[in-house]
Amino acid sequence: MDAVRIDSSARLMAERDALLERSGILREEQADAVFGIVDGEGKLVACGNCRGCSLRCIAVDESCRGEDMLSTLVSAMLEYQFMRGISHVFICTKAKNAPIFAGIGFYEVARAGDAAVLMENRRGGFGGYIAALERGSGVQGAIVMNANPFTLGHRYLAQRAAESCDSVHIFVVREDASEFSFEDRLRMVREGVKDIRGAIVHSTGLYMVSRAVFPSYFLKRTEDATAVQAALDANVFIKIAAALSVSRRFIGSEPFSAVTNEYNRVLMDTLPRYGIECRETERLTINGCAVSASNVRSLLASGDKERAFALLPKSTQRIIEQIL
Amino acid sequence: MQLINRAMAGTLESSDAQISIAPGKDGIVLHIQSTVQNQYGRAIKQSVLDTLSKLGIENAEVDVNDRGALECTLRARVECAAYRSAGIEAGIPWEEM
Repeated sequence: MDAVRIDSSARLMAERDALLERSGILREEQADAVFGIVDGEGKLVACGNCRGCSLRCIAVDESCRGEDMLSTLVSAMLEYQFMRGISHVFICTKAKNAPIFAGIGFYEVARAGDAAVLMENRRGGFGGYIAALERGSGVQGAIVMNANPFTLGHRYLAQRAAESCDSVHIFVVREDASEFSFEDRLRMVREGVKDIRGAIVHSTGLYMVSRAVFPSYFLKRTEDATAVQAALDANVFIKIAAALSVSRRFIGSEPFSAVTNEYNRVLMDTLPRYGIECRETERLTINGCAVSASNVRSLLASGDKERAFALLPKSTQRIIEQIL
Repeated sequence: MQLINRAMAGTLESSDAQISIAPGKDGIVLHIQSTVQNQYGRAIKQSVLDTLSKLGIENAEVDVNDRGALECTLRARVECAAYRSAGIEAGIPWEEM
Protein backbone atom coordinates (compact mmCIF):
# COMPACT_ATOMS: atom_id res chain seq x y z
CA MET A 1 0.00 0.00 0.00
CA ASP A 2 1.24 3.47 -0.85
CA ALA A 3 0.90 6.66 1.10
CA VAL A 4 -0.81 9.39 -0.94
CA ARG A 5 -2.07 12.95 -0.55
CA ILE A 6 -5.63 12.90 0.75
CA ASP A 7 -6.34 16.64 1.15
CA SER A 8 -8.62 16.75 -1.86
CA SER A 9 -10.97 13.99 -0.73
CA ALA A 10 -13.67 15.14 1.67
CA ARG A 11 -14.50 11.54 2.53
CA LEU A 12 -10.89 10.63 3.43
CA MET A 13 -10.44 13.86 5.36
CA ALA A 14 -13.52 13.00 7.41
CA GLU A 15 -12.08 9.53 8.02
CA ARG A 16 -8.84 11.20 9.02
CA ASP A 17 -10.64 13.27 11.65
CA ALA A 18 -12.19 10.08 13.04
CA LEU A 19 -8.82 8.28 13.05
CA LEU A 20 -7.17 11.13 14.98
CA GLU A 21 -10.07 11.17 17.41
CA ARG A 22 -9.79 7.39 18.01
CA SER A 23 -6.04 7.75 18.51
CA GLY A 24 -6.44 10.58 21.00
CA ILE A 25 -4.48 13.04 18.88
CA LEU A 26 -5.43 16.69 18.78
CA ARG A 27 -6.40 17.62 15.24
CA GLU A 28 -4.64 20.64 13.78
CA GLU A 29 -6.43 22.40 10.95
CA GLN A 30 -3.47 24.05 9.32
CA ALA A 31 -1.50 21.77 7.05
CA ASP A 32 0.49 22.21 3.84
CA ALA A 33 -0.27 18.63 2.84
CA VAL A 34 -2.16 15.72 4.38
CA PHE A 35 -0.99 12.19 3.63
CA GLY A 36 -2.75 8.91 4.23
CA ILE A 37 -2.71 5.20 3.49
CA VAL A 38 -5.88 3.61 2.16
CA ASP A 39 -6.34 -0.16 2.54
CA GLY A 40 -7.74 -2.60 -0.05
CA GLU A 41 -11.29 -1.82 1.01
CA GLY A 42 -10.88 1.92 0.60
CA LYS A 43 -10.62 2.63 4.30
CA LEU A 44 -8.11 5.14 5.65
CA VAL A 45 -5.71 3.36 8.00
CA ALA A 46 -2.93 5.91 8.55
CA CYS A 47 -2.60 9.67 8.32
CA GLY A 48 -0.21 12.57 8.88
CA ASN A 49 0.20 16.30 8.15
CA CYS A 50 3.16 18.19 6.74
CA ARG A 51 3.29 21.71 8.05
CA GLY A 52 6.35 23.89 7.57
CA CYS A 53 9.32 21.86 8.68
CA SER A 54 7.29 19.48 10.82
CA LEU A 55 5.31 16.26 10.48
CA ARG A 56 2.27 16.35 12.70
CA CYS A 57 -0.96 14.58 13.64
CA ILE A 58 0.43 11.17 12.73
CA ALA A 59 -1.80 8.20 13.48
CA VAL A 60 -2.03 4.54 12.44
CA ASP A 61 -5.25 2.60 12.91
CA GLU A 62 -5.03 0.12 15.77
CA SER A 63 -5.90 -2.82 13.51
CA CYS A 64 -2.88 -2.10 11.30
CA ARG A 65 -0.19 -1.51 13.89
CA GLY A 66 2.89 -3.64 13.50
CA GLU A 67 2.56 -3.70 9.71
CA ASP A 68 5.17 -1.02 9.11
CA MET A 69 2.54 1.48 7.92
CA LEU A 70 4.37 4.23 9.72
CA SER A 71 7.52 3.75 7.64
CA THR A 72 5.54 3.99 4.41
CA LEU A 73 3.68 7.07 5.60
CA VAL A 74 6.74 8.89 6.94
CA SER A 75 8.75 8.03 3.81
CA ALA A 76 6.14 9.68 1.60
CA MET A 77 5.98 12.72 3.86
CA LEU A 78 9.78 13.06 3.97
CA GLU A 79 9.92 12.79 0.21
CA TYR A 80 7.38 15.61 -0.07
CA GLN A 81 9.39 17.75 2.36
CA PHE A 82 12.70 17.20 0.54
CA MET A 83 11.10 17.87 -2.84
CA ARG A 84 9.96 21.27 -1.66
CA GLY A 85 13.40 22.01 -0.21
CA ILE A 86 12.78 21.24 3.45
CA SER A 87 15.48 18.80 4.50
CA HIS A 88 15.50 19.47 8.23
CA VAL A 89 12.31 17.86 9.46
CA PHE A 90 10.80 17.68 12.93
CA ILE A 91 8.16 15.56 14.56
CA CYS A 92 6.46 15.99 17.85
CA THR A 93 5.17 12.80 19.41
CA LYS A 94 4.12 11.28 22.71
CA ALA A 95 6.98 9.87 24.79
CA LYS A 96 5.73 6.31 24.39
CA ASN A 97 6.06 6.54 20.60
CA ALA A 98 9.51 8.13 20.59
CA PRO A 99 11.35 4.78 20.25
CA ILE A 100 9.36 3.98 17.10
CA PHE A 101 10.48 7.22 15.46
CA ALA A 102 14.02 6.69 16.74
CA GLY A 103 13.93 3.43 14.77
CA ILE A 104 13.21 5.28 11.53
CA GLY A 105 15.91 7.89 11.78
CA PHE A 106 14.63 10.59 14.13
CA TYR A 107 16.72 11.95 16.97
CA GLU A 108 15.44 13.44 20.20
CA VAL A 109 15.83 17.19 20.75
CA ALA A 110 13.86 17.68 23.96
CA ARG A 111 10.87 16.35 25.85
CA ALA A 112 8.12 17.64 28.09
CA GLY A 113 7.40 14.75 30.44
CA ASP A 114 5.36 11.99 28.84
CA ALA A 115 3.20 14.38 26.87
CA ALA A 116 5.57 15.38 24.10
CA VAL A 117 8.96 14.62 22.61
CA LEU A 118 10.46 16.77 19.89
CA MET A 119 12.57 14.87 17.37
CA GLU A 120 14.51 15.87 14.25
CA ASN A 121 15.70 13.88 11.26
CA ARG A 122 19.21 15.25 11.45
CA ARG A 123 21.71 13.45 13.60
CA GLY A 124 23.55 15.95 15.78
CA GLY A 125 21.34 18.80 14.55
CA PHE A 126 20.53 20.32 17.91
CA GLY A 127 23.98 19.48 19.33
CA GLY A 128 25.57 21.22 16.36
CA TYR A 129 23.37 24.29 16.81
CA ILE A 130 24.36 24.55 20.48
CA ALA A 131 28.06 23.97 19.77
CA ALA A 132 28.10 26.84 17.26
CA LEU A 133 26.58 29.43 19.62
CA GLU A 134 28.92 32.21 20.71
CA ARG A 135 29.83 31.87 24.39
CA GLY A 136 29.65 34.58 27.06
CA SER A 137 31.30 34.84 30.46
CA GLY A 138 30.55 35.49 34.13
CA VAL A 139 26.91 35.73 35.20
CA GLN A 140 24.88 35.04 32.08
CA GLY A 141 21.31 35.85 31.23
CA ALA A 142 19.08 35.13 28.25
CA ILE A 143 16.14 36.71 26.45
CA VAL A 144 14.13 35.20 23.61
CA MET A 145 12.36 37.70 21.38
CA ASN A 146 10.57 37.81 18.08
CA ALA A 147 11.30 41.56 17.77
CA ASN A 148 8.60 42.11 15.16
CA PRO A 149 9.77 44.91 15.13
CA PHE A 150 12.43 45.60 17.81
CA THR A 151 10.95 48.29 20.09
CA LEU A 152 12.11 50.46 22.98
CA GLY A 153 10.40 47.82 25.14
CA HIS A 154 12.78 45.09 23.89
CA ARG A 155 15.69 47.43 24.41
CA TYR A 156 14.51 48.21 27.94
CA LEU A 157 14.35 44.48 28.75
CA ALA A 158 17.88 43.95 27.38
CA GLN A 159 19.17 46.90 29.43
CA ARG A 160 17.54 45.58 32.62
CA ALA A 161 19.14 42.18 31.95
CA ALA A 162 22.58 43.70 31.28
CA GLU A 163 22.47 45.55 34.61
CA SER A 164 22.63 42.28 36.52
CA CYS A 165 24.55 40.06 34.08
CA ASP A 166 28.01 40.06 32.51
CA SER A 167 26.67 38.53 29.29
CA VAL A 168 23.14 38.67 27.91
CA HIS A 169 22.29 36.15 25.20
CA ILE A 170 19.52 37.50 23.01
CA PHE A 171 17.83 34.87 20.85
CA VAL A 172 15.86 36.18 17.89
CA VAL A 173 13.07 33.86 16.71
CA ARG A 174 14.19 32.40 13.39
CA GLU A 175 10.77 31.38 12.11
CA ASP A 176 9.66 33.61 9.25
CA ALA A 177 6.01 33.96 10.18
CA SER A 178 6.07 37.61 11.07
CA GLU A 179 5.48 40.90 9.27
CA PHE A 180 9.19 41.65 9.34
CA SER A 181 11.57 39.10 7.85
CA PHE A 182 14.07 37.29 10.05
CA GLU A 183 16.98 39.14 8.42
CA ASP A 184 15.38 42.52 9.15
CA ARG A 185 14.46 41.56 12.70
CA LEU A 186 17.98 40.25 13.37
CA ARG A 187 19.46 43.49 12.02
CA MET A 188 17.10 45.56 14.20
CA VAL A 189 18.18 43.65 17.30
CA ARG A 190 21.90 43.74 16.44
CA GLU A 191 21.84 47.51 15.89
CA GLY A 192 19.46 48.13 18.76
CA VAL A 193 21.67 46.48 21.39
CA LYS A 194 25.05 47.41 19.93
CA ASP A 195 25.84 49.76 22.82
CA ILE A 196 24.61 47.38 25.55
CA ARG A 197 27.60 45.82 27.27
CA GLY A 198 27.72 42.02 27.12
CA ALA A 199 24.88 41.60 24.63
CA ILE A 200 25.31 38.62 22.29
CA VAL A 201 22.70 38.16 19.54
CA HIS A 202 21.82 34.68 18.27
CA SER A 203 19.24 33.06 16.03
CA THR A 204 16.95 30.52 17.71
CA GLY A 205 17.51 28.30 14.70
CA LEU A 206 14.59 25.98 14.18
CA TYR A 207 14.51 25.14 17.86
CA MET A 208 13.06 27.73 20.25
CA VAL A 209 9.62 29.19 19.55
CA SER A 210 9.63 27.52 16.16
CA ARG A 211 6.51 26.32 14.43
CA ALA A 212 7.81 22.79 14.97
CA VAL A 213 7.94 23.19 18.73
CA PHE A 214 5.33 25.77 19.38
CA PRO A 215 2.69 25.97 16.65
CA SER A 216 0.08 27.65 18.83
CA TYR A 217 2.37 30.66 19.26
CA PHE A 218 1.76 31.33 15.60
CA LEU A 219 -1.94 30.56 15.74
CA LYS A 220 -2.53 33.41 18.17
CA ARG A 221 -5.22 31.58 20.04
CA THR A 222 -5.28 29.47 23.15
CA GLU A 223 -5.84 25.78 22.90
CA ASP A 224 -5.14 22.69 24.99
CA ALA A 225 -1.82 22.20 23.30
CA THR A 226 -0.34 25.54 24.38
CA ALA A 227 0.82 24.39 27.82
CA VAL A 228 2.44 21.25 26.43
CA GLN A 229 4.14 23.12 23.62
CA ALA A 230 5.34 25.79 26.04
CA ALA A 231 6.78 23.09 28.30
CA LEU A 232 8.56 21.54 25.33
CA ASP A 233 9.97 24.92 24.36
CA ALA A 234 11.09 25.50 27.97
CA ASN A 235 12.95 22.20 27.83
CA VAL A 236 14.70 23.16 24.61
CA PHE A 237 15.76 26.39 26.33
CA ILE A 238 16.97 24.52 29.42
CA LYS A 239 19.35 22.46 27.27
CA ILE A 240 20.70 25.56 25.55
CA ALA A 241 21.02 27.39 28.88
CA ALA A 242 22.94 24.49 30.41
CA ALA A 243 25.45 24.51 27.56
CA LEU A 244 25.94 28.29 27.72
CA SER A 245 25.93 28.45 31.56
CA VAL A 246 22.95 30.76 31.48
CA SER A 247 21.45 31.13 34.95
CA ARG A 248 18.77 33.76 34.33
CA ARG A 249 15.97 34.12 31.84
CA PHE A 250 14.35 37.50 31.39
CA ILE A 251 10.80 37.87 30.15
CA GLY A 252 8.59 40.88 29.69
CA SER A 253 5.19 40.90 31.38
CA GLU A 254 2.46 40.20 28.85
CA PRO A 255 -0.74 42.14 29.13
CA PHE A 256 -2.02 41.42 25.61
CA SER A 257 -1.53 37.86 24.34
CA ALA A 258 -3.07 34.87 26.13
CA VAL A 259 -0.66 32.45 24.47
CA THR A 260 2.44 34.43 25.48
CA ASN A 261 0.99 34.79 28.95
CA GLU A 262 0.60 31.03 29.26
CA TYR A 263 4.12 30.58 27.88
CA ASN A 264 5.50 32.95 30.52
CA ARG A 265 3.62 31.09 33.24
CA VAL A 266 5.12 27.76 32.15
CA LEU A 267 8.62 29.31 32.06
CA MET A 268 8.22 30.77 35.57
CA ASP A 269 7.09 27.37 36.74
CA THR A 270 9.65 25.18 34.97
CA LEU A 271 12.97 27.03 34.81
CA PRO A 272 13.61 27.41 38.58
CA ARG A 273 13.39 23.62 38.89
CA TYR A 274 16.47 23.45 36.66
CA GLY A 275 18.37 26.13 38.54
CA ILE A 276 17.48 28.95 36.15
CA GLU A 277 16.04 32.05 37.70
CA CYS A 278 13.16 33.48 35.70
CA ARG A 279 12.69 37.22 36.06
CA GLU A 280 9.60 38.89 34.75
CA THR A 281 10.16 42.57 34.05
CA GLU A 282 7.30 45.03 33.98
CA ARG A 283 6.75 46.36 30.49
CA LEU A 284 8.07 49.77 29.59
CA THR A 285 5.31 52.34 29.31
CA ILE A 286 5.55 55.47 27.21
CA ASN A 287 2.91 58.17 27.66
CA GLY A 288 0.95 55.79 29.88
CA CYS A 289 0.77 53.04 27.28
CA ALA A 290 2.62 49.69 27.42
CA VAL A 291 5.09 49.40 24.56
CA SER A 292 4.35 46.37 22.45
CA ALA A 293 5.41 45.29 19.00
CA SER A 294 1.85 44.40 18.05
CA ASN A 295 0.82 47.94 18.93
CA VAL A 296 3.59 49.31 16.71
CA ARG A 297 2.45 47.09 13.84
CA SER A 298 -1.14 48.23 14.04
CA LEU A 299 -0.03 51.89 14.20
CA LEU A 300 2.16 51.36 11.13
CA ALA A 301 -0.65 49.58 9.34
CA SER A 302 -3.01 52.48 9.98
CA GLY A 303 -0.40 54.90 8.66
CA ASP A 304 0.33 56.55 12.01
CA LYS A 305 4.09 56.50 11.58
CA GLU A 306 4.71 59.26 14.11
CA ARG A 307 3.09 57.45 17.02
CA ALA A 308 4.63 54.14 15.96
CA PHE A 309 8.12 55.66 15.77
CA ALA A 310 7.76 57.11 19.27
CA LEU A 311 7.92 53.50 20.52
CA LEU A 312 10.98 52.53 18.46
CA PRO A 313 14.72 53.13 18.89
CA LYS A 314 16.44 55.19 16.17
CA SER A 315 18.08 52.05 14.75
CA THR A 316 14.73 50.32 14.14
CA GLN A 317 13.26 53.54 12.69
CA ARG A 318 16.13 53.65 10.18
CA ILE A 319 15.64 50.02 9.14
CA ILE A 320 11.88 50.48 8.74
CA GLU A 321 12.46 53.59 6.63
CA GLN A 322 14.70 51.50 4.37
CA ILE A 323 12.12 48.74 3.99
CA LEU A 324 9.00 50.87 3.50
CA MET B 1 30.90 14.97 -8.53
CA GLN B 2 30.16 18.26 -6.82
CA LEU B 3 27.49 17.97 -4.14
CA ILE B 4 25.40 21.12 -3.70
CA ASN B 5 22.30 20.47 -1.62
CA ARG B 6 21.20 18.11 1.07
CA ALA B 7 19.26 15.39 -0.72
CA MET B 8 17.50 12.16 0.03
CA ALA B 9 16.57 8.98 -1.78
CA GLY B 10 14.81 5.77 -0.86
CA THR B 11 12.18 4.95 1.74
CA LEU B 12 11.99 3.56 5.24
CA GLU B 13 10.01 0.57 4.07
CA SER B 14 11.15 -2.99 4.63
CA SER B 15 13.86 -4.13 2.17
CA ASP B 16 14.70 -0.55 1.23
CA ALA B 17 17.11 2.05 2.54
CA GLN B 18 16.82 5.79 2.94
CA ILE B 19 19.95 7.76 2.16
CA SER B 20 20.48 11.37 3.11
CA ILE B 21 23.53 13.08 1.69
CA ALA B 22 24.94 16.59 2.14
CA PRO B 23 28.13 18.36 1.04
CA GLY B 24 30.92 17.88 3.57
CA LYS B 25 34.37 19.20 4.36
CA ASP B 26 36.36 16.47 6.09
CA GLY B 27 36.15 13.35 4.00
CA ILE B 28 33.18 11.01 4.15
CA VAL B 29 31.30 11.22 7.45
CA LEU B 30 29.13 8.13 7.35
CA HIS B 31 26.47 7.13 9.83
CA ILE B 32 24.60 3.86 9.45
CA GLN B 33 21.46 2.75 11.22
CA SER B 34 20.30 -0.68 10.11
CA THR B 35 17.87 -3.37 11.15
CA VAL B 36 20.61 -5.84 10.24
CA GLN B 37 23.53 -3.86 11.66
CA ASN B 38 25.11 -6.80 13.46
CA GLN B 39 25.07 -9.15 10.49
CA TYR B 40 25.72 -6.73 7.64
CA GLY B 41 26.91 -3.41 9.11
CA ARG B 42 30.39 -3.74 7.64
CA ALA B 43 29.12 -4.87 4.23
CA ILE B 44 26.73 -1.89 4.09
CA LYS B 45 29.54 0.51 4.96
CA GLN B 46 31.75 -1.00 2.26
CA SER B 47 29.01 -0.75 -0.40
CA VAL B 48 28.24 2.88 0.43
CA LEU B 49 31.90 3.95 0.48
CA ASP B 50 32.52 2.05 -2.72
CA THR B 51 29.58 3.70 -4.49
CA LEU B 52 30.61 7.17 -3.32
CA SER B 53 34.15 6.56 -4.50
CA LYS B 54 32.93 5.47 -7.95
CA LEU B 55 30.96 8.71 -8.15
CA GLY B 56 34.09 10.66 -7.27
CA ILE B 57 32.69 11.98 -4.01
CA GLU B 58 35.38 12.63 -1.43
CA ASN B 59 33.64 14.93 1.03
CA ALA B 60 30.11 14.28 2.22
CA GLU B 61 27.91 13.72 5.22
CA VAL B 62 25.96 10.55 4.58
CA ASP B 63 23.21 9.09 6.73
CA VAL B 64 22.03 5.59 5.88
CA ASN B 65 18.82 4.29 7.36
CA ASP B 66 18.79 0.72 6.16
CA ARG B 67 15.76 -1.53 6.46
CA GLY B 68 17.38 -4.68 5.13
CA ALA B 69 17.98 -3.54 1.55
CA LEU B 70 19.80 -5.77 -0.93
CA GLU B 71 23.17 -4.46 -2.00
CA CYS B 72 21.93 -3.45 -5.46
CA THR B 73 19.12 -1.42 -3.84
CA LEU B 74 21.54 0.22 -1.46
CA ARG B 75 23.89 1.24 -4.27
CA ALA B 76 21.02 2.56 -6.37
CA ARG B 77 19.71 4.65 -3.49
CA VAL B 78 23.16 6.12 -2.79
CA GLU B 79 23.61 6.99 -6.47
CA CYS B 80 20.18 8.58 -6.67
CA ALA B 81 20.74 10.67 -3.54
CA ALA B 82 24.13 11.80 -4.84
CA TYR B 83 22.75 12.85 -8.24
CA ARG B 84 19.92 14.72 -6.57
CA SER B 85 22.40 16.44 -4.27
CA ALA B 86 24.49 17.47 -7.26
CA GLY B 87 21.40 18.70 -9.09
CA ILE B 88 22.00 16.31 -12.00
CA GLU B 89 18.78 15.13 -13.58
CA ALA B 90 19.81 14.20 -17.10
CA GLY B 91 22.79 12.69 -18.87
CA ILE B 92 23.53 10.17 -16.15
CA PRO B 93 26.35 7.85 -17.30
CA TRP B 94 24.54 4.58 -16.62
CA GLU B 95 27.23 2.44 -18.29
CA GLU B 96 29.85 3.51 -15.81
CA MET B 97 27.93 2.24 -12.85
